[in-house]
Amino acid sequence: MKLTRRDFIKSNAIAAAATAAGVTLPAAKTALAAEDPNAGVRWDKAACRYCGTGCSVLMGVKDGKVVASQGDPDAPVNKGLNCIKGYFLPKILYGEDRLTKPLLRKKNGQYAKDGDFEEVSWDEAFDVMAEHWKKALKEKGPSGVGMFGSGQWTVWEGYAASKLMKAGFRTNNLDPNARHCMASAVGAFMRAFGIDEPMGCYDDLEHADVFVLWGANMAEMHPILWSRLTDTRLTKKGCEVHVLSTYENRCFELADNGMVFVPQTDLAILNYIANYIIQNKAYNKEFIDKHVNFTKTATDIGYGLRPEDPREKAAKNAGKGKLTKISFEEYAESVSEYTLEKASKMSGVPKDKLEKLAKVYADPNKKVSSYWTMGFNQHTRGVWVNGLLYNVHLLMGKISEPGNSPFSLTGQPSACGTAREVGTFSHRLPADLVVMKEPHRKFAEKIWKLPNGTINPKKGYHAVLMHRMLKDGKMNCYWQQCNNNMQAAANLNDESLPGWRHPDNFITVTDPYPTVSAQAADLILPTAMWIEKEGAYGNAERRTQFWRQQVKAPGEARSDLWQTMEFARRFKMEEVWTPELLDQMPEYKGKTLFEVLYENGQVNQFPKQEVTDEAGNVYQNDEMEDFGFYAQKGLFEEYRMFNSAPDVIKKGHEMAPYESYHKARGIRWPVIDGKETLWRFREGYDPHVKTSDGVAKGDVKFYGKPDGKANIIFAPYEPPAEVPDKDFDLWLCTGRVLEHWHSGSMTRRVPELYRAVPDAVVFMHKKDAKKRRLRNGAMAKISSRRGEIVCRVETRGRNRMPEGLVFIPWFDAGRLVNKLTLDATDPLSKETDYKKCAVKISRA
Amino acid sequence: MNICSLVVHAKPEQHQFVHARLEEFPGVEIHGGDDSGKFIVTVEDAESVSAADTMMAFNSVEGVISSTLIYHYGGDDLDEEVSK
Amino acid sequence: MRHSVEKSKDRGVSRRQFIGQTLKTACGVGLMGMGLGFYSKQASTLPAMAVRPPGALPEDEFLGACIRCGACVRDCPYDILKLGQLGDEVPTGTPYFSARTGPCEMCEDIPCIPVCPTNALDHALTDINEARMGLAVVVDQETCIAFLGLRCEVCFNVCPIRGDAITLDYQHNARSGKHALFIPIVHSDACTGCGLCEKACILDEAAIKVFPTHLAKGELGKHYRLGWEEKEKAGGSLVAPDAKHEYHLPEGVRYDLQGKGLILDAKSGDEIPVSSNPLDTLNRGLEGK
Repeated sequence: MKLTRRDFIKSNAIAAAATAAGVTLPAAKTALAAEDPNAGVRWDKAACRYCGTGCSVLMGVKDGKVVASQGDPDAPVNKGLNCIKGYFLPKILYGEDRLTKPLLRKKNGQYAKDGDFEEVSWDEAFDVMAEHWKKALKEKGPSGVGMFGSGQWTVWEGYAASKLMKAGFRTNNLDPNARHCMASAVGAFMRAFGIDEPMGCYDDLEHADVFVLWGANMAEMHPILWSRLTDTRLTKKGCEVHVLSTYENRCFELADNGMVFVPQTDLAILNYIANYIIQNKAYNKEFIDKHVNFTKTATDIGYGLRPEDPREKAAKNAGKGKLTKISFEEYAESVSEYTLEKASKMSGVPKDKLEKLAKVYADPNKKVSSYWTMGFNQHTRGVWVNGLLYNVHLLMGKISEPGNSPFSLTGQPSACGTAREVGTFSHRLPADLVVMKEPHRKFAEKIWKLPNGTINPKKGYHAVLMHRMLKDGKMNCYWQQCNNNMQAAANLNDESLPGWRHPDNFITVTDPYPTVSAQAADLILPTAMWIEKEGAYGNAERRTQFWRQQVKAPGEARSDLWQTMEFARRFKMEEVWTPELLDQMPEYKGKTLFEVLYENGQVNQFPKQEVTDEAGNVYQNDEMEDFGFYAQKGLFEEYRMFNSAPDVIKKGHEMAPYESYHKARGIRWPVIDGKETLWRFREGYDPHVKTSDGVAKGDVKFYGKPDGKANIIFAPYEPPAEVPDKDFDLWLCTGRVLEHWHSGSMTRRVPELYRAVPDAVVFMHKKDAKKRRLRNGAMAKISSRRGEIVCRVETRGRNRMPEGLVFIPWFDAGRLVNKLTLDATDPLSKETDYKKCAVKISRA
Repeated sequence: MNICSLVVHAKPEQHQFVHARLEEFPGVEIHGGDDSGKFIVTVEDAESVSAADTMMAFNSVEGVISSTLIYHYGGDDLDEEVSK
Repeated sequence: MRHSVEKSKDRGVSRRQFIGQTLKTACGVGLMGMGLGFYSKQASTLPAMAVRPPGALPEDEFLGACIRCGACVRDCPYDILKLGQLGDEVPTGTPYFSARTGPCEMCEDIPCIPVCPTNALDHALTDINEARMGLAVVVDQETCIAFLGLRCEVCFNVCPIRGDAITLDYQHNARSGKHALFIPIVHSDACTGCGLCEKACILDEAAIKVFPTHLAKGELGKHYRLGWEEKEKAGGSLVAPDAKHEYHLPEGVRYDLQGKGLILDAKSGDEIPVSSNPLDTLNRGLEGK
C-alpha cells in the first residue's frame, strides 16, 4: 500500500476525533498507517566507540546515513544492552560542527604561527607539514619529531603509525594517550608476569563469590560490566561486593563493605592484607612454592617531575625499578609492619572493615575477583600498587581460573588492542616487544624488511616528556591523532600550552571536531570517525572486534589511517635514513617512505576487492579505493606475523586471520587452531600450558617469565607528590561521569547527553562548602599552584565526598580541570597521577 | 498545510441535512457518526479557503449545536511517502 | 502528535494561535456541546504539565489566593517561573514552570516564597526539601531504557534529593541472563517535584514526568495496613508470635522457617564445582573433537 504523510495524519486525526466523541468507526477508517521503521535499513555490527568494555552494537544505515542503532543481542559482552552513551552512538557522527576541510593558521596567504585558521587543500596541508617535519629532522635528528596517538585508534591505525615513526622516521617518539590511562597496569603486568594484559576475562563476573573494586567506579565507567556484577550479587548466594575509593561513588550503593580511604594509603591497605594472610598462615604454600618468586623493588623513586624539581633531587633512586630477589621470610618481614592498627590509622578506614576485606581474600573457599582502573593506574606509585594486588592474589593462588581474577579494566575501546598490542608506546614494538632489546629490534626489522639497525634502540619521549620537550624547544613537530591531549594532559598552563604555542614548534591535530587541542594547534586535519572507516578494537578481556565501513565521512575528512600513510608519500628515503642504512638495501634508494613501509609486498598484498557481508550487502572502503589495495587487511596480516608467525619471540598473543573477525562477535586471544582462550596460564584453559611440558593437569605456568614463575614484589607506602597544606587545603581528584566520555568531544555534541549533564561541577562535602561560605549551586573558584577554574558547587550529587577532598570531572571544555592538576607521574610507568593534588576553593 | 479533525454535534432531527451541508465545503470529509449525531469530520486547507475559515463557516449551518476541534496538524510534508 | 507540534512551530504560526482562532469559532456555536466540554474544562484546570512554584497551596485555594502580581516570577533567580498568558492553558497571570524545559533549581532560600503578598505560596515553607510541587512519575516503562536493561539512570544521577527521592531497584535481567536492571523508583515522601529528572531524561519524550500529586499518586484503601510496616512500627508481632516449629529432617539438613527455608548440606548446596563449569566443558568438548 502506498501512503503519503497526508493519509497517515488524516487517519490519526479521525481516530482522535472519534475517541473524543465516543464514536466507533469502521476499522478501516482508524487503522493507522504504521511506518515500517526498518524499511530500507541495512544493519551491520560494530564495536562501541567508547570505553574498554567492548559492547557490540548494530548500526542501521539508510541512504548513506546511520538512522538507527541497537545493542547487539548476539554479543556475549552486552547481550543487546547499552549504556546511555551507547544509546546515542549514531549522534556522535553528526555534530553540527564536524570538521570537513584541513585548516591551517595563516597570515597574508602564508602559514604563520600566530595566524588565523583558514581552509586549505590536503596538498597544501601536507606540504606545509612535511616542510616543518623535514626541517626538524634535519636540525634535531629523529628526536625532533613526535606523534601522540590513541587507544581509540583502530588496530591498523596504531600499527601504521608505529611503522611510520619507528621504521620510517627512526624515532621512538610515539606514545598513545593510553600513557595517561593504562601504562601503570602495563608496567605491573610485565614486572609480575612478563606478558601484558589480564589472565582472566569477563566471565569472571559470573563466577566470583566476592568482588573488590580498587579505585574503579565501575557503576559509571563500565556500565554494562557493572550490570553483570550487580546481577551476580543479586542472584548468587553469599556474593559480596567490597568497594574502596577516596570518596563515595555510585558503586557504594551496592557495596556490602564500602571503604573511603585517605589518598595513597591503598599501598598500606594492600600490604596489610598480605600481612594478614601471612600472619594467619592462610597463604597457599604449594602454589607459592611452585609458581612464585619473591622480590622487592627499589624505593624512594621520586615523582616523574622535571629533574630540577626539588622532589626529584631529594629522591635517592629517582625512576629506578630494579627488582631484588628476596626470600619468603624476608617478604613476610617487610609486610609485617603493616598491621591492622597501622593500616586503619593511615587510611582512616575502620578496623572491622579492613579485616572483613582481608578475610575474604584469605578465605580459600571464596573466589575473589578484583577490579581497578584509574584509581590504581593514575597514581605516582601505580606500578607498585598494581603489583601489591597481584601479591595478594598470588599468595592465595587466586588467579587464572574462573572467578579468581585480578583484573585491570581499560578506559578506552582499544587501549589493549591498539595502544598495547601493536606497540604504540615509546618503548615498545608490536606484541610486547621492546626497542631496547636487540633481538626484538632484529625480529621487527626482519618482518618490516628493514636494514639492520633501522630501529632506534633508545626509548622515545613518553606523553608527559613530549610536552616538556616541546616547551623546551627540543622537539619541534608533534602530530596528535584521535585524542585531545591539550584537555587531557596535566598542568596545562605550565607545560602543555607553552609547548604547543612555542614559536619553533609545528603542531598538527587530526580530529573530527574543533576540540581544545584543535584550538591550540597550527594545522587541523579533518578525520573520518569510527564507522566511517573499516576498523578493529581490542577490549579489556583480549577480545578483538572488527567492523566494516558503514558510512562515508563528511566533506574532505579522511581517516587517520589514510593521513598517516599518505603523509609518508611526502618523504624520500634519503631524507629520513642515513646513507649507511640505504647502502644495506640499495633497492630502497630514491623511493618514498610510503613505498618502503606500505608497498612492501606485504601491506599491499591484498588487491582491491568488494567488501560484502553474509547477506551480500556491499560496503565502501575509502582507503582501499584510494590506495588500490586492501590496506586494513594487509596491515593486520603483517602485524599478525609479530604474534602468530611460528618463530615469534614472545608467544601468547596469537590472533586469527583477518576474515574470521568479520564473522565473529569478537575473538579472545591467544587464538590457537581457531580456538580462543578464556583464562590464561592454566592448563586446560590455555593452550600454551601443556601437560606434555610437565605441567600437572589443571596447574598453572606463568610462561611470560623464563622460569615460568610470577613475581611477588614488595613495595612500601610512600607519600604522594603533593598533599594539602595550609595554603592549598583540599585534595583534588578528577575523573569521569557516566554520561560523558573522556574530554566530551563526542558526547557533548549529543544534545540529550549535554542536557543531562551540561557542565562540570565541583563535588564537595557540605561542611567544606559551608566553611567557604558556599552553598549548593554557587559558583566557586578552584585554584592550585598551577592555575584556577570556576565551576558550580555540588554538595548533593551522585558523588558523596568526604571532608577535605573534592572531585571535578574533566569532560568539560569550558572548565579545564587540567589547569589545576600536577604533572607528577609514576616514575616507572610515566603515567600521570590525576587523582591527587592540592587545591583551595573560594567564592567566585 | 493544515489538517484538522473535529467533532460536529448536530440536532438529531436535522443530522441528515447537516451531513449533506458539511460535505459541500471544500476540503471537508465526514468519516462517520451519523448514528449518534456526532460527526467525525476532517477539514483540510482547500484552494483559497483555509481550514480555519471552513470551520468558522460550520457556525452558520443550521442544525449544528457545536463543533469541537480535536486534532490539528500543520506540516509541509504531507505528500511525502511514508510507506510502500 | 509530537511531530505536528514541531512542524507548526517551524512555520512561525504557532499551533496555539491556530487553535485560538478556531476556538473562537467553536465558541460561537456553543462550546458546551453534549459530552464534549473539552476546552472549558481546561480553562479552569491546570494542565498536567504545568507545575506550580514551591509552597503553592492546593490548586483551588491557590487560584483564590493568587492575585497575579508576578512577584514570584520576578524574583526567580533562574528565570524558571512564567506567568500564564492569554490563550495559554494555564489560568492567565498565575505562576508556573514546565519541568521539561526549565525545572525548579531548588534554591535553598526559596526566594519566590517570601515575596508572595497573599501566602498563595505558603510562607511556612522554609526548607526547600519539604516542598511538594508535584511528584515525578516514571510514566512509561516500555520506553524508559532502564527498564530495558540499558545503563542510563540519568534521573537518579541528577536528583537533588539523591538516594531518597529516587532510588534504584536492582533486578535480574531474565532476557540477557547475566546483567542487572537498574530500575528507578520515585518516593513520594522525598520527591519535591522539582522536575530536574524530567528535564534530564534523555528520551525524545521524557519517560519520567512531574505531575500534580493528586494525579500522580494511587491511594491504598483506608482499611488496609501493610503488615511488615506495622510490625516494624510496633517493634514486634501485633499478635502472639508463632510457636516454635520442629521437623522430621534427614541428617545434615536444617529448616529455617523465617529465613531460607530448607538448607541442604553445604556440599550439595549451590556451590558449582569448577568441573561443572559450562565453559570448561565447552573447551574440553572442542578439544575432544
